[in-house]
Amino acid sequence: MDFSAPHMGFVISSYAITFAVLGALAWWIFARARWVTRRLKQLDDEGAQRRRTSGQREP
Amino acid sequence: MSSIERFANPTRFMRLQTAVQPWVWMITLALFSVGLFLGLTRAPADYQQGETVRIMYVHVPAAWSALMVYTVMAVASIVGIVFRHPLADIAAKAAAPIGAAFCFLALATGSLWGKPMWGTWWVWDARLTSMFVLLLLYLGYMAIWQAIDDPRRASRIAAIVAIVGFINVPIVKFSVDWWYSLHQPASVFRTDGPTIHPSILTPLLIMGLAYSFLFLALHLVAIRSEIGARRIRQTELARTGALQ
Repeated sequence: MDFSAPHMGFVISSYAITFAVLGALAWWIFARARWVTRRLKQLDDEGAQRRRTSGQREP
Repeated sequence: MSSIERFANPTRFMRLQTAVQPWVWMITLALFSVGLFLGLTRAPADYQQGETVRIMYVHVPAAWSALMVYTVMAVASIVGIVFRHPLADIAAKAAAPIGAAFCFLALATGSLWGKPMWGTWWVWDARLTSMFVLLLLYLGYMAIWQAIDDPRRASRIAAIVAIVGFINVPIVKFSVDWWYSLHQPASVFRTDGPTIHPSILTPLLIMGLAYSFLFLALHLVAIRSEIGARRIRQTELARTGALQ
C-alpha cells in the first residue's frame, strides 16, 4: 500500500472509524455481559427466587 | 420436541454458547488477519481509484452484514411470532445493535469513499437512501424495546416492525438496478458471476466472512446477556411481589 497516494486520509479514516465502532460495540456488549453475570450472582447469593407464572416458559 | 425447540432451549443454548465461543473468536481473528493482510498488502490498487479502493474491504462487508443481520432479525421475529419461543425474540433483540453498528459503518465508510470518488459526502440516491432507511429501521426497532416495559408486548410490536421493515432489504440490494444511482451496480452477487478480479475478490470475501463471524461471536454474547437480563427482571419482580 502506497501511503503517499492521493486520498490516503480517507482510506485511513475509514479503517480508523471501522475499528473504533467495532471496538466500542464489542466493549459495550462485554460490559453488559459482565454486569448481567455480576447481578445474577449477587441475586443468587441473596437467595432470590424467580417469579414463575403458570404457562410461562423460560427464560 | 421439535428441532427448533431443542436448539432454542435457553439452558441448552448457554451450554452450547460456552463451548463454541472461543472457537468463533479464534476464527474471527484469523479471518480478519488474513483478510486485512491480503486486502492491504497483496491486492492491487485500482487503475482508476488508486489506493482509495481499499476502503471497499471495510465498506462492502459492513453493508452485506447490515443486510444479513436484518434478515436474521426478520427470520427470528417470524419464528417468535409463529412458534412463540422467547429465545427467537431474544435473538432478534440482541442482533439489532450489532446490525445498526454495521449499517452505520457502511454509511460512514461509504461517505468517506464517496467524497474523493464522487466529489460529495452524501447524495439522496436510491442505494444511499434505502441504506439510511435501514439504519432508521434498526434504531426504531431498538427504540420499541426501550420504550415498552412489558417484554412480551415489546417483542410482538418489535417483531412486526422487523418483519414489515424487511421489505427494505431487497430494495437496498436491487436499488442500483431499479433506479439510476451514483453508486456502482452489483459486482459480486450477480446472476452471471462476479466481475471483480480474484486478487481483489478473495480478500473481499474473506473480510465478508470475518464480519459474519464477528457478528456470530458478538451475537452469542449478546443473547446470553439478554437471557440473563430477563432472569434478573423476573427475580426482581418476584422480590417486589414478595415485599408487597
